[in-house]
Amino acid sequence: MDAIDDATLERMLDLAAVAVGDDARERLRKDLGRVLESMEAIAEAPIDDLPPTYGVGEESRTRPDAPVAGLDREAALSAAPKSADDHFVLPSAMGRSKK
Amino acid sequence: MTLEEHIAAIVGGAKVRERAEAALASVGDDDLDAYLELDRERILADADALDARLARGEELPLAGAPIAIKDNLCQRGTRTTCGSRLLEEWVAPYDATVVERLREAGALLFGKTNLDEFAMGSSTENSAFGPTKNPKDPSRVPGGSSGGSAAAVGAGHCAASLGSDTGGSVRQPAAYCGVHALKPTYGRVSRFGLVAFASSLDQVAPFGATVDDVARIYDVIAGPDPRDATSAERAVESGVNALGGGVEGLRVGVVRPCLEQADAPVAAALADAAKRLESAGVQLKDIALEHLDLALSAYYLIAPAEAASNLARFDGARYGLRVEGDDLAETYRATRSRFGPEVIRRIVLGTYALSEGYADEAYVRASRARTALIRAFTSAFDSVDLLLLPTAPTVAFPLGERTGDPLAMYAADVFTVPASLAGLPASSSPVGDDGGLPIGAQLVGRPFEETTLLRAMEVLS
Amino acid sequence: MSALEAVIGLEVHAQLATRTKLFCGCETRYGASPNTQVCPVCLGYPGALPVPNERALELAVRAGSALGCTIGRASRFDRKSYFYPDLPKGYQISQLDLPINEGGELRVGERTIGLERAHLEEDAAKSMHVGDQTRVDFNRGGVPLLEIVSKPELRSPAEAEAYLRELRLLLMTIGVNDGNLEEGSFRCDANVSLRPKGTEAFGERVEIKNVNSFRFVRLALEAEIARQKAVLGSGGVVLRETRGWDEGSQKTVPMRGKEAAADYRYFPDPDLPAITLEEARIEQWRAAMPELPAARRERWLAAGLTDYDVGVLGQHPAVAAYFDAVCAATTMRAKKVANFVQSDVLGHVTTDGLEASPPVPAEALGELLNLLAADTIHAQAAKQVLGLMAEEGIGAKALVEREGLAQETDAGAIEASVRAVLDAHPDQVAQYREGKTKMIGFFVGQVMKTSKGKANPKAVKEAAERLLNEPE
Repeated sequence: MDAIDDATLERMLDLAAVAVGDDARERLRKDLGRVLESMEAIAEAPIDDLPPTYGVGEESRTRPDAPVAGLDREAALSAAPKSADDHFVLPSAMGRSKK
Repeated sequence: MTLEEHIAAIVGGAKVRERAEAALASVGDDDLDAYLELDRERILADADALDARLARGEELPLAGAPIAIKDNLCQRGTRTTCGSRLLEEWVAPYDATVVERLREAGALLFGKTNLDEFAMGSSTENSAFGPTKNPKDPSRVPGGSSGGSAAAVGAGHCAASLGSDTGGSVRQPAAYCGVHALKPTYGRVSRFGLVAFASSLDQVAPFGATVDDVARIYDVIAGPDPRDATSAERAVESGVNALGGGVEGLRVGVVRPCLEQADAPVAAALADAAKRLESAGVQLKDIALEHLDLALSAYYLIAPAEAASNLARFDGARYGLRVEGDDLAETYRATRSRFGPEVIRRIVLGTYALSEGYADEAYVRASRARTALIRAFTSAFDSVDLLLLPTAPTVAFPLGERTGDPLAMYAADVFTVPASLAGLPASSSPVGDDGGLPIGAQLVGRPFEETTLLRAMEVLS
Repeated sequence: MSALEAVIGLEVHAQLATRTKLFCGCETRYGASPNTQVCPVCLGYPGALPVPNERALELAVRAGSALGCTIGRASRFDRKSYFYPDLPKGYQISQLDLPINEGGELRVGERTIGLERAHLEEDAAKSMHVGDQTRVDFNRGGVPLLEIVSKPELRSPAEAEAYLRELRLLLMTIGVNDGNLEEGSFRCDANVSLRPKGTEAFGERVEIKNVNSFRFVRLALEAEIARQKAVLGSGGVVLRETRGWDEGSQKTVPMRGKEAAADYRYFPDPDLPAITLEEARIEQWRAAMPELPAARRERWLAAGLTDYDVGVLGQHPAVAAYFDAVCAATTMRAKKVANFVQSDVLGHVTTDGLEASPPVPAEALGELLNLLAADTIHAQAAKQVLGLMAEEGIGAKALVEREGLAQETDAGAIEASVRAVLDAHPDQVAQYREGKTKMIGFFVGQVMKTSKGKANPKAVKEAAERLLNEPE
């Protein structure tokens, strides 16, 4: 795995919706590069044919289709940074693609 | 006072309120900065309520004993900050299942303890609200991410506390602070209400001044929960009942390469611990665990990947901090930029590990390495019942020593991440010290064999 | 330019008819006051965890069985990540590599259209743009959806419309979806591209979203095909994009600007271990499945109904069930029941989602039809009684007695009434005997008058014909 280049870092920050100041950015890029470089052992290990393990949990449980009391609307809205007319309010998403 | 002593005192007529006042007095001004919240009035009011319940004849296994709770566990009506600016003012509207079970068992919920932000770290220095200090030496770290809960027990405020362990976040601070801890098998304890860091690795885990303390808390919190789909549908064998069972005939594999990798005092303390086990009737053998060298790298691809996803919900939309920007995208960015640098580092690393073009070589490959490690453990457990290795390569390091070097910080987890990746139960017990700085020995067992671990922990120290 | 053919694929998001959401116990009832069907799980609160709804799995498997899909023995949920106000966790729980249903097909007219998959996912919340704000109602967030993806095998907008109607009817009939387009429980996106007839390679496709009626899907596809033809005809290139249907201009219009393909960073959801379905459980669910439309059609045709009858009575599952229940409650032949229900009952049935409210219960209607079949009352009286039954809730037998509507069936009495009428109208009798056989209606009418409607018209007619044809 190669170290992270600036364009890639930019794309990751964008995907993660995080912004980083300029000096912090370079440090971040370098730190991440070192972390990724330290992972050579994984790249070279003889594990190509092993199936990935995504979780060690046993069989998934399910629940019956019966209503369970939820959150009171007032409680939920009062915890929100902004609300109006029984709705949660955010700056407009218009013009922003759903991505 | 241990839980056993506390319970005896209450039975003998002491009041929960007295015990609560004593605990609060021992905290004093919280010079260790173990607590993010310690609401004295509420604690005393709760103590009075517990006294009333006991007076009515209610059966309360924990009898009002103070138990500190890591601040990434939801506790209804209290701020649950996860050590982060993003949740600095957030009051949880519900209890985590483990908190609910503690309440039912009559615990006195004693404060919310400090942690590395969103449980990401090995020293508690990543908390947005300042680090916690090691009770044995306040110039040093208590370990992390559950530093506050470890310190609370290490300093004697409580006999037991709750932390969470993802890659060692309970075992390693237990080792640094000189207390016991048990990370259960993955799925043994409900994660409902534990703010998720890495979902396939997180487990709530108790700290205790003695093994008995750990066992009592384990008995209360363990067991299936319909609100957690990963919680195992299995009956729990009582940990307390297993104690005193001894270790005669148990086969213990000493993971020699790990001892060699650790600092000399740590290796020496582990060797002594092994001998103690042997004197108690254990059959020792040296064992090498294949693919151990892949564990740290696999962990630092898998955990950040899951974390990046779990932290996507912190966008300032429905709760917590919002920093308004010019538009929606700006608002998301401005809000999420308030994560600390370690959290941002892991979010970016995790996003990278999952993104198109890199995922196969990063997240997926790391998940193959995880399979390799699981098989190595399974194979090892053909010939032994427990594995013994150091909890951490060193004793507690000085505050500030590793904050500028992420790799050095990650290295503190090298012995704890393997059991996390394999979902195995693992513990840490104090087995010696280096100039007063505690050293911890780690035991790893087969899935769901926590009782075997507890019996061996008793003998270790 | 060689003749072009349209290549159409449809993606349907069908809400599963469960009481609660896919991963939490909040109700899914439509029309609730905003943000009253929410909880820590579907609001994406810290520490909340998803637990799958057993009934959603059952309904998904039911749909998969009815569509001939391969049911996944081990299916998995995956996280699809992006940021948007209607997505509380910052990711949607969906299924990528191991969906619960794979493959499948749907018969549409003479053709069989292949399916790619029918997988489970949670619905997003509802966001509205108001001025410079986005306002969100999380009631819908987390509702269980079955995303049914067809292969790009549809060849015309009309066929696409037919596919949607068939699919909706099938899902309604087996109780998986309530077919309510206005409430958005059955939504469709279409993909269309053009290619020279006879070729295999696909042209660049355009996605059409947010079309909320089947008719509009057809119109949108027609407009888009025309647009693409024009682009290609003038030497241009069709761009891959997403377009919406604009009713005003009757055209498709671009929805978003060109954008790089999104990186959703799919990975298996670590909060949800794989769902393993044993053969026994799948069989149990299959056995509990209501009759499929095709089987019901065969059964009804065999019972004597026409294609038309099948179409009308089968268009709503509760109506179909009602019809079957009425048939079971009466000795009247199914075809006659079908006629009666269509002409006299259907007009008074109201439907709401998967429920229907007939004017009288099936048992009660059965009782009425038995009286009709036994000639105790005639058709006219039956209509009258039905009206009274619906109004008053009283049974048919009791009403017939109360209103004195029982037909006169005694042959002697009828003959006497007929003789009396014939004797009273000798001119008309003569006309009949001269060949004006239509006069029979006059005599029957007169007997009905004198008997105050009680005489059985059939018996009257028979008697009249007999007496009129007697040699003098």
